[in-house]
Amino acid sequence: MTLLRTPLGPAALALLALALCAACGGEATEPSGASQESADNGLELAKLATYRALVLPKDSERAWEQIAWQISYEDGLRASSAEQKPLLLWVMNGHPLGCT
Amino acid sequence: MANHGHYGGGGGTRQGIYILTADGTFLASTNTLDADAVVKVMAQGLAAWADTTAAARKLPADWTLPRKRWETSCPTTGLVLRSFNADLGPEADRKRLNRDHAWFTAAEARGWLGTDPKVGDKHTVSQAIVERLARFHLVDNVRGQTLPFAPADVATSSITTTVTKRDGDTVSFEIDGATQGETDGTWTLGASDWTPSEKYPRAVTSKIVGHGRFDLASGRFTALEFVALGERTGRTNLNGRPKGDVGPARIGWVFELAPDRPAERVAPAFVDIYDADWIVDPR
Repeated sequence: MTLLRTPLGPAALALLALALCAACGGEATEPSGASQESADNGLELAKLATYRALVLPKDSERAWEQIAWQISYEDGLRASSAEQKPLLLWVMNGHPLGCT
Repeated sequence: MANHGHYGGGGGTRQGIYILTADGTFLASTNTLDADAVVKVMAQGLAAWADTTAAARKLPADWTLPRKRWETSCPTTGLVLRSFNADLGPEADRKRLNRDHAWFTAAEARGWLGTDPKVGDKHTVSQAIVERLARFHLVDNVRGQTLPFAPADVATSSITTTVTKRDGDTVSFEIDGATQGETDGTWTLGASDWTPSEKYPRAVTSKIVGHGRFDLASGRFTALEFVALGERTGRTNLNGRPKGDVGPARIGWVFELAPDRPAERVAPAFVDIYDADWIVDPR
């Protein structure tokens, strides 16, 4: 994974994160036309938000998602060259966005 | 470049975080999960950047890199889900979770609903969708890489959608279902990087609930999210479960539409053995 890093320091990084956060867009959380009745398997659609909260990481654990990561070395290098900023390259074995 | 980093130029891993210029000049590196340590390395990199030349900050004009990437098969006109999974229950280690993406072409994704959905219709979600989810995504990789299930291992799994609203081409629906993946560890998926050296008996069960909204005119989902809550039993060689943590224990998954940005086009963990002939192997 690659990250374009501004040469202006942490304050600039925070600004970058804010700008990207606004661009991320919302995600569906409310049932659309849902009856709110129990599913046949015993789980309740009305409790979907509660179920999600059991699994999802906290917002504080997802701050890194606000950065516009590129997922290929090539894309990162090209962006670094075009924007004249250093590149942060994150190299891990296993699934790159997972914990493996 | 990496040979100048924290692991030097010898054999072994090059995992870590590197700061570099566009021409590959090494600036700083580390391999740590400590955020404060990463910030220090970033500062070192920025300090070194100040001393680099303009030439070092540019890619050579004739530079190319072969585009051999799994994400070139990402079905951007189909359905791309992102998933999260975590251990549940009071004993769960909440610091560990995993995430993945599930890919479906537009034609495959149409299997969530019937041909002409009407309010009250119940539809058995296509076997292709159910199998893909149960085999490759409803697995225990919370703490590390695991193994997929074979089709026969998940044969009793089923998901149903119920249409709750139809407004022109917009169809709203609910999702419920149950999946079962169980194997005695016999590997039936042929030779691949995943082929285990020994048997790992294991099982994963889940119950599913969620909802979605589909636009018949564009063939696209405008909303889709569901959770799967269940139980895991057993372990695999690399999934991070010590022999004393083989369950049964609670586990859960969240699936939702992936936002449209590069990081959400990372290929599914099992992409190299996905049951999809439209995926182009870049190797």
